[in-house]
Amino acid sequence: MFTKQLQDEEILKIAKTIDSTNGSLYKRFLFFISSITFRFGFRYPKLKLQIFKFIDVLPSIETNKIYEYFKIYIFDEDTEIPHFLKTLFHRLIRLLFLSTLASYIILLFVKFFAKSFILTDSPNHLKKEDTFKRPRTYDILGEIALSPLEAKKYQKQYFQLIEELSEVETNINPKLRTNISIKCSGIETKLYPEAEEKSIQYLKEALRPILRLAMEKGIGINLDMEQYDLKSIISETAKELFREDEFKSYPHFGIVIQSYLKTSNDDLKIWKEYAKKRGVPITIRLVKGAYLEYERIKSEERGWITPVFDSKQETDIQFEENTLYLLDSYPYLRAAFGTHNLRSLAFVLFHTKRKSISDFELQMLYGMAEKYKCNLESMGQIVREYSPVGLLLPGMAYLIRRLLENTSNQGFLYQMSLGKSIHSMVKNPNEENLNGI
Amino acid sequence: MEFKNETIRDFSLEKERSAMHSALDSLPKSFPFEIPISIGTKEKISPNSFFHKNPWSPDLVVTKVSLAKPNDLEEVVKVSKKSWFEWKQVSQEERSNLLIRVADNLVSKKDFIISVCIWETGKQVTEAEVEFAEAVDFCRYYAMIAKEKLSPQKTILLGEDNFYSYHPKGIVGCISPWNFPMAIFTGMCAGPLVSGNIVVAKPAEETSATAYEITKCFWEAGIPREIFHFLPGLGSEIGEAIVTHPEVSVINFTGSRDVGLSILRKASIVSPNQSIIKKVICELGGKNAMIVDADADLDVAIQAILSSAFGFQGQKCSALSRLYVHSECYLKLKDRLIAAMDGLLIGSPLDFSNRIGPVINEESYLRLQKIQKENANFLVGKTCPVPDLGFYISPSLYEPPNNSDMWNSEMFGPILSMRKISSFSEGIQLTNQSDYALTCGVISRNPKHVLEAKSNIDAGNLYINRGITGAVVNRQPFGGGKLSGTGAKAGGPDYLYLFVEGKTYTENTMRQGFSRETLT
Repeated sequence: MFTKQLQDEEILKIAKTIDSTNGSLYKRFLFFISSITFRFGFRYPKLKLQIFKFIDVLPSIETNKIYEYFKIYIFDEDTEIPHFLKTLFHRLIRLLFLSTLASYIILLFVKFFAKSFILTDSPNHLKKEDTFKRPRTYDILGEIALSPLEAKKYQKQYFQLIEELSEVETNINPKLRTNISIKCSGIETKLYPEAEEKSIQYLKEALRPILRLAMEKGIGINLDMEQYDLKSIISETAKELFREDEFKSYPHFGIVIQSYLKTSNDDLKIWKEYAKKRGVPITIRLVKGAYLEYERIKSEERGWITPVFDSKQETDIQFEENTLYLLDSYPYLRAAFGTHNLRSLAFVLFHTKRKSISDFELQMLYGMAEKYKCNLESMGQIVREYSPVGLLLPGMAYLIRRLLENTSNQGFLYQMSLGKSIHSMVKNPNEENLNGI
Repeated sequence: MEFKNETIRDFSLEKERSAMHSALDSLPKSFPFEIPISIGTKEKISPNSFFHKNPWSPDLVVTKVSLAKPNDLEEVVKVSKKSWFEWKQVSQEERSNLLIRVADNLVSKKDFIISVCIWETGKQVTEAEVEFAEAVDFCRYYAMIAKEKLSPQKTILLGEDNFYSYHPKGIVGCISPWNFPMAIFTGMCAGPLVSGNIVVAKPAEETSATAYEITKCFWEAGIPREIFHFLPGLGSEIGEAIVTHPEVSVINFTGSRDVGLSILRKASIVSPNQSIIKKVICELGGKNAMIVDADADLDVAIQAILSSAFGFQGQKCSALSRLYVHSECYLKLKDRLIAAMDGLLIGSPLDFSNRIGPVINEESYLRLQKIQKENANFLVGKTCPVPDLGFYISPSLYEPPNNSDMWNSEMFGPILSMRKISSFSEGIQLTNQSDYALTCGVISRNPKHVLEAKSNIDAGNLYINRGITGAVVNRQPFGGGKLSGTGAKAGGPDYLYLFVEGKTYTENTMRQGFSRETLT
């Protein structure tokens, strides 16, 4: 057996390897630039907020009006930019009639930024060689669909995507198998918690043709998890669908468990029992969860106790518990860990090694934590990239979520960029509890 | 005492859904509900009755309502006068506590009351849930506000004691509508009761059963029956009698503009044996607008429009009926909105996946059909299909000409008109071109425009970047100005002042040049 302390030392060692600085000069430069960006976001929180609000409205305004909005959001509001600088800049632009030019430059800049998080603008533009570089799980960008028409369009994009992707060889390493992530509220609008049974019927109908097509090509399917309201509908749909005759023996289906939910432990238990009965494994992507603020706001509005943990630390503790349970449930449940957190990554690697489990996945978002990905790859780990496909401007909501994640002062990458010691960052979350951090 | 809004149920839990379904399914065996007239401790069934049919299967009579007559009101007045003195003596603390108990009683009968309401009105279950929570909120909120605001104020000087205290006005006639039979009925009665008045409740004919079940919760909590009377019946009979009775001090009315204005007229006539000036509180209609700016988040706009214009079939005074959209996003919004309307399921509220139910009764159904027919030329989008049986009106979107009646008169149905604007300020100008000033919505991400809207739009409740219905007690005190009403803000801090009169006692405490202080 191993002691807790030994375990933490081992985890720290692994973390150091994942974090070690190497790779090309260009990659190091990129990491440096992103560190500066994150730090900037923290030092100027008011400006950060205004920039995000501005990026949010950008897709809805005509290009020549961009500067006008930039002025309203960045210059007219109280931010950390000194007053004289704002006035100077604005006067200069007005004096030289540069507002149109400024608009274009701003748009280009934001598009450039968005591009670093979005793989390509359309399934038709997927480059064949790109699909071989790293295994991916593709996601079609877009927020909620508001009509059956929009849902159909969204569904069609998935068909297009599957058409474009090449067939997966039968004996491929499961970690390399092409995969698609599906956002259920995008392909079916009639999802109502109060009418769960009907919603499940509708969602199953919308999903079946996609699943069928993907199965023909040997592509894996993962149902993404969204807000808490839809959790029950999405999970129940998955359970019923994956047991239907035509799908029951397909081993490449997956679903998401969010560790920030207080129910995640119980949900994992249910999935294990389910997979045992089904007789064919299910992949569980374990993430921390992306709708934290939304859940808090909604539950306050309705007078609910929030379904999510209040502190990041509690989530981190739960994530580690979930990880252990998930690994213990192998081979019924196949684990995929979606995290950019160094401690979580090292924790996973430590325990998979200890339990001699090699059939698990590490998943990270396209455009984030490139350094970690490279180092993990040189350690012999394959990293799957969650890769959004879609138009840059409508994808802005996705971009903002990524930016928030990158610049949140609790976020791991940001903390790292502050130059905090790796030792303190990789601390056992349970220990932090004792020290009151 | 801290106020907390009642929790909205999580219908993603199977047990909540099945409890609601079984409550709904268990009702029809007791149809028709027989609704008595209640005067003090006496209840009676009148041979004259009104039959209310279920809106989605009109062959089913849900309620058989006894019709109260003017002589019933005479009796009510007699009984009340005897008991009022005692009720006035009850401490504010005690009266507030009674109201808290009413809230608890309501909660304990939640599924049953919501079910009665759904069978009477055809309301969708999540809307009914929110409405029920509002009813509970009214009780708890007014209980708290009464304790905070209605206690006497003292101003003591060296030689003079001053007391300012609040006293109930007497008999309050509460004439309530059918569209929110739980929330509005409860709120309209709870306010006057907690401040020490006598309540004569005249519920809407269509929702007498819901109102009666709520009334029972008041009685069971300990509100004396001699103080809270229940007189169901027709507006033209018992409603009119309440308005004109010389001993009714306050008329608390929520309903249509025409009825409201006629109440104001009638109540202003002082009859020979009358010794009070009647006070009329009116919550009337709306012709509510929403401005969608060029930079709007259309996802937000469309969700807000759908729920505000078509929620409960548009039968809310706060419902959206005028949509002003900036030319830069007009076509895009219109196309997406029409497509989204296509996704609304129409059918009975017993199937929780339906978004749109039937309208309240045949009269409404025929009236709305007529409006739809008259404006068929301007129709641009319509939700289909509609079930054959039942009073279903499909949500429809129009582009009527500027001089059309569609822009001015209240429709009370799922009918929405839209029009292009070339600037945000044009939107404000058009919004304000209305007799009504109840709710209004603005969907914009331009902080300057939002500020402009806040200072220039005439509306009792202005909502920014969200839907315009569903005001929550304490958070959004509800009520409007102009011809939308007398500006009573229900669920707000000033509501209870409408049912009390201030009295001042001033006592000179100086005797022969010395005061209390000089002697001690």
